[in-house]
Amino acid sequence: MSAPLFDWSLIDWADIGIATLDTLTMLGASLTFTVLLGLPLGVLLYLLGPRRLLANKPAYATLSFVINALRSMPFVILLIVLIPVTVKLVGTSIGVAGAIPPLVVGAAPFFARLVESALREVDLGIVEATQAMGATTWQIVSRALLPEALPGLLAATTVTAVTLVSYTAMSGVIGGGGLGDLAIRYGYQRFQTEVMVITVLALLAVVQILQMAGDWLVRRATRK
Amino acid sequence: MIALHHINKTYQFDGRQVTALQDIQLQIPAGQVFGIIGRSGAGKSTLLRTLNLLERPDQGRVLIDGIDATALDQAGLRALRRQIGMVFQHFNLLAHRTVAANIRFALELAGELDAPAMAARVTELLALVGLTEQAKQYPAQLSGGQKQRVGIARALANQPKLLLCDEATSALDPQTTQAILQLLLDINQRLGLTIVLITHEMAVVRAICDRVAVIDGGSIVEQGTVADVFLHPQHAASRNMVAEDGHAAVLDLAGKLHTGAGKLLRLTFVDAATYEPVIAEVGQQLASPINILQGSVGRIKDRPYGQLIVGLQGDVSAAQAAFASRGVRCEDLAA
Repeated sequence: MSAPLFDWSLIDWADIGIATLDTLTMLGASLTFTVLLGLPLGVLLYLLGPRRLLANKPAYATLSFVINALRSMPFVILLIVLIPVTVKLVGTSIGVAGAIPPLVVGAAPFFARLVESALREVDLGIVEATQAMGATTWQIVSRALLPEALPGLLAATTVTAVTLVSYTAMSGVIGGGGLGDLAIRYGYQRFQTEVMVITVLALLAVVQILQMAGDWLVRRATRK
Repeated sequence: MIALHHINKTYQFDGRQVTALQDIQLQIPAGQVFGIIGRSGAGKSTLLRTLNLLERPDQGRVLIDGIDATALDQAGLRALRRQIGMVFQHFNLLAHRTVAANIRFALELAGELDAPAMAARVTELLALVGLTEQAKQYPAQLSGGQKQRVGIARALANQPKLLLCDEATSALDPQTTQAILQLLLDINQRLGLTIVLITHEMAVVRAICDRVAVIDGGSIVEQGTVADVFLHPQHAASRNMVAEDGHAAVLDLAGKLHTGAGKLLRLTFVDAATYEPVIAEVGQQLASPINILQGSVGRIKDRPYGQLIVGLQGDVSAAQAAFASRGVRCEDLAA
């Protein structure tokens, strides 16, 4: 009788549970801050864009450049570069808390771009009609643009959440905790392929659930 | 009520200067339906948008009830815009709001009514445009005509004194167009508000306008009562527009008819004259037959008109005098 391919008894299920919870915590916290930061940034980017309400070429170019610069930085590098900032913000550069600031800095510019393109999908005629009704710029954004773009914004949030899941896995590099950390320390460094398999499956499940939930919300919000 | 003084507007386009509006002078009397007709690219859309300053002119003044809109600050401009309704070719309804909520949107932005008062006003407007049944539907579930009714109700929500219509029927089929035009005319007569509409279709102007301005290449080339401009267009652009409409007797057969048809006259009847047997009477009086070669009869808004091209064998000046005495305008097309 040959030895089985995997020896599942090697797996510490409590560890897997804690790591999953850590991943979800990082995801929840970083997604929240990413949306809080990226949404206004995306709206601003949209408004400053050519032929938009607050069209301003230099301001748009500057903001656009900063966002591109942050987006072009590989996340692994960002994790390390941001260590001093992270320590200032949350008091530590490791663990779940230490992973959140770089996750937000990595994902917010990405999300802002997605917000900008979701808003661009809104027919300019709707903006014009709202303007013709005597709306302020704030009213146009809050009452017309954002509600009209809601399906697109929800889809953008879903994409960002999935991206954040893969970022959380990378934060294992700086001892960020979570499933990725577990996969690197046990699955890779200790050759426990079983742990690798389980963490990959757990990540797959998280991503799958996020995507399904996102799609469901988008469908519910769509009135077209 | 509305006066435009020396309006100029140019755009930068690919580094070139493009003149959109050139020295526009326009007076629009209160309570009328005023049409601005022109081809696409003639500047009519820009002109309409200067009335609520969605397009700010480079020079000139926009006077609305004596107030210079170009001199208002942001808050003043927003207050003015709330008194000007606007209806769009592509409706521009909010997809995420129901019919009732789309109408309420204008009231919410104005922020002058409380919730029960808004609900009452929405009910009233739904009845006005005949959409009471559709109150809870979303725009995607409506036909084009129904969407435009929502657009009109929304534009009327804050009880404006002026309604701007941007090609309001151009995206609709002919039957729906007639229904929407009737609704606009009904609103104009019942609520007494001024309507300014832009269109590229003479039929729209003929159906509901009192006065019309023809815009071509960014300038107003002709303006007057619809009957005058339609039956006696002076400018080439107006003449082309009338000819394409096919509802006026435009002489396009001159060459073919010249031989044997006699002298060509164009007769124009408006109002009471259309009900009289004028041609038969004049024929008897002159003792020479009058041959109807081409013509059109119809209505301009609620005024009946007829325009005929006739061939006459006898004396032209005698015929002209005879027609003139019966209130019919007679033009010698050979002249």
